[in-house]
Amino acid sequence: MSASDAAGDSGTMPRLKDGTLVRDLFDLGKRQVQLRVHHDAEIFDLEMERIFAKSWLPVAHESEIPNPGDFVRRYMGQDSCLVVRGDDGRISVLLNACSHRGMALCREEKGKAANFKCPYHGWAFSKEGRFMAAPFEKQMYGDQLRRDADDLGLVTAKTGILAGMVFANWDHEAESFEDYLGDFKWYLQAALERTNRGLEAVGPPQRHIMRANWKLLAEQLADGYHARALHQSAGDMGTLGHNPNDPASWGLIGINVSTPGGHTLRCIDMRLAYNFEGLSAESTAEERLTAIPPPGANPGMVKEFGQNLSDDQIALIADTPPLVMGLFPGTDFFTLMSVSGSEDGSHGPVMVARTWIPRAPDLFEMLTWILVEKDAPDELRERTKRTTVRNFGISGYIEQDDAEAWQGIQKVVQGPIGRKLTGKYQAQLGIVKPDDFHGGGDVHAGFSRDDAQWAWWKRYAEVMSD
Amino acid sequence: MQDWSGGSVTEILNPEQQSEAALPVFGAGPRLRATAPRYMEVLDFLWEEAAILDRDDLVGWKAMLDEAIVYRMPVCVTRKRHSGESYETETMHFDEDYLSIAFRIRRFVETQAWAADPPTRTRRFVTGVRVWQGATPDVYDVTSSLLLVRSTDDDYRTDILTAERFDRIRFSPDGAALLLDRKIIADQSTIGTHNLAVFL
Ligand code: FES
Ligand SMILES: [Fe+2]
Repeated sequence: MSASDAAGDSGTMPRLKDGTLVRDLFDLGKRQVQLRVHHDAEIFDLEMERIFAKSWLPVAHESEIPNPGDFVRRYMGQDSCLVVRGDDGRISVLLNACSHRGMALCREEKGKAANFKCPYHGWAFSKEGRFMAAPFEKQMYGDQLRRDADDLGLVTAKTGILAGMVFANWDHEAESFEDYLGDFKWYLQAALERTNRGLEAVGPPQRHIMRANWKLLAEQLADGYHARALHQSAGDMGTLGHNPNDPASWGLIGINVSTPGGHTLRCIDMRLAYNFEGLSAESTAEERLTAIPPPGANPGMVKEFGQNLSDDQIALIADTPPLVMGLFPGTDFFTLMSVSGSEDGSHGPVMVARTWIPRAPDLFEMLTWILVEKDAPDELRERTKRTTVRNFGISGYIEQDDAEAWQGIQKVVQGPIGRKLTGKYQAQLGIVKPDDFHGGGDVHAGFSRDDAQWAWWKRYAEVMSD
Repeated sequence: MQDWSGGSVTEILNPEQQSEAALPVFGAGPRLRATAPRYMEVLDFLWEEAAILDRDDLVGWKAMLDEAIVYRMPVCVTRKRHSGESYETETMHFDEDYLSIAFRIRRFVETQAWAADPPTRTRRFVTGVRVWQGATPDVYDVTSSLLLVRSTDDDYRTDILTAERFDRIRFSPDGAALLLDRKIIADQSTIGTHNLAVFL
């Protein structure tokens, strides 16, 4: 019997085989999480059903499949899916599994197709997943398949698009994409949908493995606190922490935002952290954006912002831009203004979208897309690509060190004593919302404490144990 | 898409193809037999490089790089045989020049870089080396197969990376060789290690 069955008809909550209620893995009063959540196979199975089969997950950037018939093969949790551009330009997300007997339809990662024909017996499906035809159909089935055609289509997911990223959700009963984004839409639009033509991916994402539980990355997005210790070398290299004892220079002073839905974002206070290029704490939004354009943009693009964003959104990205934007459970947009990665001292932006594919309790796969403005001149495009790769992703010197923490915790939870430890999130600021801050959600302004991270865990606890 | 298939062993390069204006495609020049002294020098260079990297002598490795080096590793995706599309894509895993490599090396050597402290241990096996006369008389186009086995901490499991490397190696008049260009094409589209805090 799986843990989810244990919920039963009696309305009892999910319980693990050793009798522990999943709810009791979380101490909401002390703000602690038992580290066995990163280890137990039962919990992993519950996550696949309760989270990954029912959540909005990013699968591709629409620029990867510009023309009708273009498709990429991706994963949503452990389910393989096809992201396909139809003849009408609309994108469908389909389970990559034939409705006949379940053969994986498509065996390449990227391609172009007029339709999808199963390698096993040859059933064919349209770009939207409709059943079209089977070989020797009359001889084999008479007119039975014609009558059943509507039920023989591929499993489809519903879709939504943000900043060109295609999101999908297998659960057609789930909340709409708009409702899912909720208060965060305002922030994400400001950070990512600011120009007339918007963003594109430079190509398919980097993919690599991590010997750790997927949540160790997901919950870390709102963790500013680790920068000083884990990213000490970024400080030594002059990228972060220009003044090692000043929290602002580690990006630790700003505004964290969370939602009951588990979305988290971290805004850095530019007025404290970036007062060079002739800027001061009193500089206007326009002065600030022109002197240091937001990640991936240039002063020319800044002029377009007014056509796409409200004044409040422009003030947000000028004064307190969201740099790390996490959507529960599996999306991160990570942008940095100006980092190096070369002894020539040149600086450039980091622009990535990331997701993580759980493979096993102690293994996930990471996908990293590099994003650039469609209208970026070659120089800016190249600089964004280079700086991003050098700082983030599989070879990025900043992210290299994050992998050590994720894998380091995973080693500890392999032991029965180690996994009795708890992750602790007691450092709380509470709701602190400055008068001149116009964003929604739960706003935590000041030193970057555990509030937003804990919001992520609260959401996780809710989804796993209700 | 460049043609990496290489010219034939006996083919002699058309002299006008050697002009700087039209840089010949990689491997289009005459191929050097494995008995050629210059072939042996290229092989020696690659073995020396592998040993230096395996010993974690990153500063020593830097001294083997030409300051004009272009060092790239594209992201690759599985395609159908007859799609006519390349396995390579525009996204990079590495997109480096001399100064960005120098930056990475200084980080490993001089700062608290947790990803490489303690260092992972690597063993590089370089085989299948083929050498062509390159674009200019001092440059050679070289392809090789790389098997990189990576051991981390006390983990009995090893990460294995295999790749084909497309190198350009420049020889100075005194016979010293420097790596001028490297493109790494990994066989895995999902890279089977937790980071690339190693050079391939
Ligand atoms: S399993 Fe696909 S046609 Fe039979
Ligand atoms: Fe980090």
